[in-house]
Order: sequence, then C-alpha cells, then structure tokens
Amino acid sequence: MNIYFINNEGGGFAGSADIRENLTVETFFKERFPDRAPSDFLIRVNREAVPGSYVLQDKDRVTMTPMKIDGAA
Amino acid sequence: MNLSLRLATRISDFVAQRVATTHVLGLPSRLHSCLQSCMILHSKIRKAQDKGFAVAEKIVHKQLIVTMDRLKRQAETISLSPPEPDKAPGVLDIYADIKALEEEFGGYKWDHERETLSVTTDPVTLLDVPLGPFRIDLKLSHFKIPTNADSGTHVDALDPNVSGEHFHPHVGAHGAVCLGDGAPSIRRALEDGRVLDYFIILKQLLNSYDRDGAYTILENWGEDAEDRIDCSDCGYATLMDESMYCDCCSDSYCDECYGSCESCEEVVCDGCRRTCVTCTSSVCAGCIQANCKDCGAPLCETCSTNNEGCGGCSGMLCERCVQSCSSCSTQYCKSCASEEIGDCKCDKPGQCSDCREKCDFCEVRQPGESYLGPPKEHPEFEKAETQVFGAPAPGFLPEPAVQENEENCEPTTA
Repeated sequence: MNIYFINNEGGGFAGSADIRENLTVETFFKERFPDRAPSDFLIRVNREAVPGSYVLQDKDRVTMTPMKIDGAA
Repeated sequence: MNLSLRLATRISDFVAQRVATTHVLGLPSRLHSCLQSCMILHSKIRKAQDKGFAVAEKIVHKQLIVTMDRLKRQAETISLSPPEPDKAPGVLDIYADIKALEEEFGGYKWDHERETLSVTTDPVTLLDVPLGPFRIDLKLSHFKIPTNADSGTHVDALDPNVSGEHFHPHVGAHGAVCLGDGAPSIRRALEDGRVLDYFIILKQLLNSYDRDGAYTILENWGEDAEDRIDCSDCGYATLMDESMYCDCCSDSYCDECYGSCESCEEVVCDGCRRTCVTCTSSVCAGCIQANCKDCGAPLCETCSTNNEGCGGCSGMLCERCVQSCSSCSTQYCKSCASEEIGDCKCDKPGQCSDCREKCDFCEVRQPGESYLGPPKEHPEFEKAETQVFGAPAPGFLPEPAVQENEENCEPTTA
C-alpha cells in the first residue's frame, strides 16, 4: 500500500511512503516519530482530523504539522 | 467555473511553470561542454589528416587525450538520476485544499486586485496575553517564487493588542511574519502547491511563542515603548525601572550588562569596569589608582598602594613588568632597569649600580676570581684552527683572508 506523507516539521517533507496493510494512523505516527507524542502534532488524513485508530487506506494523504513552530524577530 | 476551481487552476499553472524551469533533464553543463570539446578536437584531427598536417594531427591528438581524461573523471563523479516523477500537484488536489480552508478556517477571501488569498484564524492567546484573531495573506505570486515568502509573508491583526509597534511577538511592525523555524516548511508547501498546509503552518506559528526570538517579550506586553529603553551594550529593550544609568559613560543598561565595583561597590556598566592586572578584581574607573608605567595595565587602589613603584623613577609597575635587582630586590621599570641593572665586574649578574659598588662577592674574592667560577678548560679552543679542523683540503684554493680596517670599518681583501 502506498500513501502520500507530508511532514511539516523542520525542512518539510512530502512524498510517497509504503505501508503495510491495516496500519493505524497512530502506529504510523509512532513509527515515524518514536520519541514524540501525537499531541505535539496536528494530524490530518485527507485534510480531516481522524481518531488514532483510523486504518490507513491506499492513496491516503497524511499530514503532520507540529503544534509549536517558533518564529523569529 | 467557480472561484475555488479558477484559483486552483491558476496555482497549478504557476507551480507547473516553476517545476518546468527548475527541473532540467539531460547532461550536466560541465559534462556537456567537455564532451563538446572532445568532438571538436576529433573533428580537427580528421581535418589535419585530410590535409596531411602530421605535426598538427599529433598536437591535437595530445589535447584530445587530456580532454578525454577530464571527461572520464567527470563521468565517474556525475551520475544521472532518472527523471523525478511530476511533482506538480493536480488541479483537483489544490481545489480540495482550497475547499478544506472552509472547514479549517471557516472560509477564505480572494482579493482580486492584490491577487491575495486570505483566511482568518481563531483568536490567538499566548501566555495569557490575548492577541485577537489574525488574517493570514497568501500572495499567488509566491507559488512562482516560493523564496519570496521568506520575507513577504504578511498577517494583519483584526482585533490588535499592540505592544510598541508589534501586534504579535513574531510579527514585524508592518505585518511581515518572521518565519523562523517555519520558513523551510512554508517554502516547501509553496513549492508543492499545498495551499492548506501553508495556512496551517502559519496558524501554528502564530500560536507559538519563542521568548529568545521575539520582537517584544510577552512578559512586558502592552507596556508603552516610552517606558522602555534599549540597553547600550546588548540592545535589549528593558524597562526604565529595571535599567541602570552608568555615571561613568552616561548610558543606560539592562540588568545583564552592569555590576558593582569590587572596591567601592558603586554600580557601573560592564564596559566601564576594569580588571586590576595584579589582583584581577573588577573595579570602576574611579578605583583605578594607577596604570603600569610600562604596559599601561590598570592597578586598583589596594594594589597600587602596596606597590613600591620603580626604584628609579617611582612609576607604578604591574607584576609582569617588574625587573628587580638580584641582590637588594629593588624594583625597576624597563627604562630604569636598562640603566641601573647590569653585571658586576666579578660577573655577578643583574645587580643595580649601588649593589655593584658594594658587591659582597668583590669584597672577598681573590684577584681574577669570577662569581661564575673558574673558566672551564677547552683545550681545543687554544689550538690553531688548522689543528682542529685539519689543513685545507688539497685541490681547493685557500679562502681569501678578510681583515678589518679599524679606521673606516671597511673589509679589505688580502
């Protein structure tokens, strides 16, 4: 299965990612950010908020945007 | 066609144009020019062969060998990657992003004259300071040149809570957002035509606060600019009540850039305090009693009082510059030491003139006896040079002897 994964943290990343079947969005998050909490991110699937138990589907678009993005002066 | 679809089509065109101009396929230019050089040299060799120019043929062939080596090296270092998949987003993707703005921000506004897409955030509150809702603008031209967003991203406060010239800690006086950590991801979102992500990243940025990178810190939010002064040392905007006026230099400083004199305890700025070269205490200019005569380093009151000064000219001296008589330990400055201190006739070193006159060793020594002891015997020095080094080797002319003419100091050759 293939999804489109967008990580808006740091330098930003957008590209396709291969995933196994029946993978929940919460497990996918833990695999991508093992040291981080889901509450640190705004997580959207196909532009909508979903529960962590949502099972990712082929061609899904997963976006993770950090809650805190430091600006400068 | 509705507005969202028209906007999506325009954005898609902008992104597609940019991708087409920045992603060039084919040979890299250096490799291509090297290959061209090889082809030209090959053509020259053929012409030389046709005309029977054997010498020219060989010369050009040597040039071809050199160019071929260069081509080989470049071909080894450069590898061509397969063309990347077309990253230009589809119109439908962008359309879905624009439609999602309604869900995320309750809709959007399109300013036809400014060619700007805008959304409004919920009211922002940072550290209990209410800053009100913000309108975030997105110029369509940023999709053509995403780097323009670095300094060209603007927001406007709809219910401003202003502090000085700023309505947000990370927004400049004219509404330009200082993107900080968000700059790379915003640029990337624009490159990919991700309208929704652009607005969401900016919304998160407006809901974040970094004290170290703020125009005005939230702790002092809302205080009048007249109540604040810029620290003359670090530039930090500090409250008048918390600042300190330095009487020495007549400037004001924040609490990080001043301290008290370790001698008189008067509060002065860091720049007006000096470190005593002897005891290393930090003192104000008033407590610097003297400077070392030789190196100019400051000496505090205590160290200059305890300092005996130069025995010749009475000038103050730091520990590093003191030169002492080896017998009476009288201290001298550099210039006085050069006149006063010297070796006695008995060879006792480093004595002042008084000590040399009353030299204790001279009083007891035997005639001809040296303070440094009897000279060591080196019989080889007493031998003739030819005995030590041997006679000049046969076959070479003897070196010309040089005699000094004492009157005019010009060497004369015998």
